[in-house]
Amino acid sequence: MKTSAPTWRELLHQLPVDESIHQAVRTHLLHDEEKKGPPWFLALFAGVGAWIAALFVLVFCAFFMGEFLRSGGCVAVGVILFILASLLSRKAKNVFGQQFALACLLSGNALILAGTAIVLDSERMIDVLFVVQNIVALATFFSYRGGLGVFLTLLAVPQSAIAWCLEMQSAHPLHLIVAALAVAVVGLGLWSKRPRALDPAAYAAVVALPISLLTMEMLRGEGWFSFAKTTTPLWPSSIVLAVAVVVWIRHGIAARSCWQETWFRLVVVVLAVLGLFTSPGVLVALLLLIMGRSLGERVLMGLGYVFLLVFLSFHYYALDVSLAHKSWVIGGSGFILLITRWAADQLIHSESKEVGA
Amino acid sequence: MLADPLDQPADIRTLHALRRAGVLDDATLHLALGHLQTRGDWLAWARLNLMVIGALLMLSGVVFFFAYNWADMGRFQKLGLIFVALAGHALGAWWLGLGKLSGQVMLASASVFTGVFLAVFGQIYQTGADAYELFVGWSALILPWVMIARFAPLWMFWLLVVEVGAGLYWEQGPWDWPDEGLGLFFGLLNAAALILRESLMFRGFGWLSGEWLRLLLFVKMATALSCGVIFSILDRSTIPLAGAHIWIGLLVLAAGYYHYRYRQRDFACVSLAAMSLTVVSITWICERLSKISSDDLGMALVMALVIVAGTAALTMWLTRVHQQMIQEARS
Repeated sequence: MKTSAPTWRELLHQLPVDESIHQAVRTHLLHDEEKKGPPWFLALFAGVGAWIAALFVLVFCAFFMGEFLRSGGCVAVGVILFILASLLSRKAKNVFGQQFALACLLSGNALILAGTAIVLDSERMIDVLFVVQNIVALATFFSYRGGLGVFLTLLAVPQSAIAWCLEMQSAHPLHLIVAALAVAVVGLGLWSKRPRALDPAAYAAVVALPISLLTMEMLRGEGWFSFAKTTTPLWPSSIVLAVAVVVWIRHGIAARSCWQETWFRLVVVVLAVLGLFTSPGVLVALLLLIMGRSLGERVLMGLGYVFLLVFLSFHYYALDVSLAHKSWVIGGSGFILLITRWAADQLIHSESKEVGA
Repeated sequence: MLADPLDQPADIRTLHALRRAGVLDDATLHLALGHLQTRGDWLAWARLNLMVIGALLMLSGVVFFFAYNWADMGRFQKLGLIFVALAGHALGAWWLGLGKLSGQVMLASASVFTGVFLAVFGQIYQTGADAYELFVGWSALILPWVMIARFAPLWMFWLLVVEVGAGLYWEQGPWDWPDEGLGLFFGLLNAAALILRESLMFRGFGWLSGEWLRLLLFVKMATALSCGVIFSILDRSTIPLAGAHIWIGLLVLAAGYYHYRYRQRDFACVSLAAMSLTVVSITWICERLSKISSDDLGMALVMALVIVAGTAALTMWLTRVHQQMIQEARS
């Protein structure tokens, strides 16, 4: 099934491009090789290291400035750490400096949020924290130089919105969050001339989407956030996500000639119909898988598979939905996919027979 | 002399990066993507995923259905239904043939139902057996299927059943083995499975050659060993043979690093081994620091710096190793 990929030279010879493009591709590849950073899992490890270091920085701050922090100095220290992080991220040329900048950024962000909570001590605290996190994320985006730091602070924005929903004991706005994230994921993913600076935002949206779906599932389980238990229907998110899947297939799959194939159109129609029937978690997994495949991002595909397994186990514990309904929806979705595969096989078989005849 | 980068295999991610850099226009990008992902590729991928995800969802639906009706079912209904599912999947595998993925998936499902049958049987008749006996029996019963299926996911699943059985035996068996040794035990078990996979792969067991299998085994091995070593470092005074645990764990991780760095080059495994060794080293340094000084204030900052320094040094070093391994693979 897997065939070896052509080399760049072979590929370029098959395209209507002149020698200058060959040279530009060569230069880009050489430049890319020189500037190649660590692989994603190493960056993730570094991020986890910085996060743990940030916890120790927070402990240090708590011991060092106990009373000062409690009297509202948290925000001031947080802002100082934030400025230090931004400066370090711009000036430090080595990995140590970058790592320390990340630790300062994370601890600064935490202190600013905690300080705001201490100073305001308001009943509408969650509204304020949501706004503050947005401001911190915006400031990070424009001042901090480091993809991982921007990614993490942007990832915190939808999470603070979800926290707001939990606090308000309202799950309806979660559909809006899912819709906004779906638009961000598909929009940023399809933007062929997307500036590099927006990469962390694109990845943050992709990771936040399954997290939001899991939160929705948790909201539906008594054992998790029982105070915010809700019987909010999931169909609005399902429809939004089905549209996102179809839009991605329409514009994101490069083999445009696929659309001439009956089997392909059948699969697309089935995926659209799934939006009316299945749980949104299934559609998020499908979206991640199809996006990962068309963008050549194996991490996204891995995320899709892992998310599907995690989602199914969470879905099992969604106690306000009867198991009979869940078995009907999940089993039925599986049945539809298997029948689609069978039907697609039949179509291909009959078409190849016609061509043979 | 450096090789011409145009002789490297083309990939989709770089094509998108070329578009974003303005080297290619949209039309050329789509043409190029069409060469790298043909209609045939998409068809094969769609067929595989429709089957895998469809089967997973349908099996989950069946489990949900059983869970819903469980309380109202009689013992014969319960056992009968599970047996019908088991036999149906085994017959389906026989009918489809084990040369096909669908047949292999059927046999894997039958293996899962075998365990479900044993569990329900034990629950209904209260045989008084220890929990580990269920898993030992399960792994023994499905072993012939694992051997004939030539299906890596089933092999991995069997290993998981063996692990759970062995873990329960460790706790419930006649010997009073300390729980702290479990990390080392699981680490060594996965190391043995990894060695078996590497040695059989080129001896007619091509179905074991999936890279994901190596990575998964290595992740399990490194995680178990790291946890075992870290617990031994943090609780050295109460764990018997803690020193031996630490040294065996470190030696296996170092051997893993050496093997995948110089014998069978695999950067992911090299990174995992190095990350595990780094985490263990940072834990050891922090544990020593906490013993040396009782000044919590200064120590928190020193520990933060140690963690940042450790992860930064590892990142720099592995980035260089990554470049070296790419160059070695090309030359």
